Amino acid sequence: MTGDVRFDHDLAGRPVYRDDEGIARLLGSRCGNCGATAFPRRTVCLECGGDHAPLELRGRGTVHAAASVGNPPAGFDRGFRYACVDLAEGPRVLGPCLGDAVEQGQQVQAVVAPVRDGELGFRFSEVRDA
Amino acid sequence: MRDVYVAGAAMTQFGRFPDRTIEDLGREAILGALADAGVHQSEVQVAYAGHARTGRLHARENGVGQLCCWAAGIREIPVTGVGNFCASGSTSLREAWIAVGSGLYDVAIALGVEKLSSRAERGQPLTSDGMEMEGRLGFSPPAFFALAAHRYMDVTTADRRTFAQVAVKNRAHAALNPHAQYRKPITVEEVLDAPLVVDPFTRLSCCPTSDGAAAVVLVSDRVRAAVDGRAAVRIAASSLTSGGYRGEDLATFSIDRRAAAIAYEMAGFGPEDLDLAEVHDAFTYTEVAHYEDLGFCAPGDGPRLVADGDTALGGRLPVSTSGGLLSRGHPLGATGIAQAVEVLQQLRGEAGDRQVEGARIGLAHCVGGFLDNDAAASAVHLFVRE
Repeated sequence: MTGDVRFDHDLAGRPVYRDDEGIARLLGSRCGNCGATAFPRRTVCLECGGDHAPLELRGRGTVHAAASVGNPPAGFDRGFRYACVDLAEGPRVLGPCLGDAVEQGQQVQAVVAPVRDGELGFRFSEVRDA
Repeated sequence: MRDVYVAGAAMTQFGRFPDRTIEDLGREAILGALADAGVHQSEVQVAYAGHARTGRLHARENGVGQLCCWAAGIREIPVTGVGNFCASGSTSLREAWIAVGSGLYDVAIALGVEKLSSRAERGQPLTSDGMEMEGRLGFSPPAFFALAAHRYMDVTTADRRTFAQVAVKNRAHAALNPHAQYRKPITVEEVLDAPLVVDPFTRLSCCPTSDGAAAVVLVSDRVRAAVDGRAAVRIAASSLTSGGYRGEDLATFSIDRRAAAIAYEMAGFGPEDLDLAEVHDAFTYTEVAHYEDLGFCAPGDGPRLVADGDTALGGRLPVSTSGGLLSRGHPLGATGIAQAVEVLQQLRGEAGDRQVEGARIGLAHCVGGFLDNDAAASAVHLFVRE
């Protein structure tokens, strides 16, 4: 499946990712004035007040920190690794991981996967470069 | 700004009370603070009420202040509800300080009240306002601070035992606090062996679900001179700031460094002058990070303060003498005011078995909420006994 957003961000209904054959392309933005990037997409730049335009991010980044969730929040039926990821284009994202092996410092890729209540969202998966 | 004094303070027992209502808790705190201050209901000119979760849990998004004032016999004054996540109580205190300091009012009440024990998701982490997308992706407050704790362990000598020792220390302090929610001593092993929430936090590394209320009476110098025979405790500084959202290293928090710097600048003294501090130990790690961010020690030195006992009662700078959020409890909106209650009692020499000898200067700090991978609000208040 391509091109479809799977869930909305808050009441404004902003899309957060595009399903690119299982890879989650994160829908961010970039300031036309100073080049600062953001995820999720924003309208006004926090750095300079300029206008942001949509920018699709690869979904690839480096793990800044990771922790194992033992007591899962409502809607998750089991624990998971939770990560803070600094995306290659600049913005930071927090999200669940696929599998138990994601560690700080690793390269990860956002992929489409079930999240809360089995809804489709994205999780971070280790990247093993060829 | 005129000088503003804390004339009286009171808090309810903190804990889980299925049979107590917000109205009941708030009334007790207000009446207690008025009695402590020697001020009658009819003299209160303005009131602020901090509450963070009453809309979602009790269908009272608004009007908690009016309700609690009404219950305590106060009407026909300006009342403002104050919402700022876990810093709602601190923000309520700040608004009352501004009200009196500005010269508009001479007598103010700052109330904080929360009743969390009725929430349905028993045993699961509290959700956080405004984090809907993040929540769908697994966000919870302990998960966020666990990430920060891991970074902190990367860049300092802190380990899981360091954090566990904070829980033990604060529980030992709470054993001396009749109003604290949890008072039974615990050991490092018990903290480490408790059920895992998000590594490195076990159930004993996290603050509990709590009900409770606290209130303070703030007065101008003119009123203080007329009613208060006890030691005068002045609010030397109030600061409040919001997040920077700069994607900084999660190990420590610039929002707290900023709040502290503004407060010390306003007060004209620094952390080296503090005799005690109440900080935001919602998780064991956050207290240790606060040692650095609030200037109690150099960056990286937080774990040493724990290991050396510097922040235990009897140490160089006792922190969380009340038992902290961890053991005194954390009814969200009430906490910032409860911290002020503790500091007031300490500075007046009324802290009983928890008394810090000769305490003259105290700090209270709360940080709350989340936005764009940062905290949303941080407040620091400094108190001086004159």
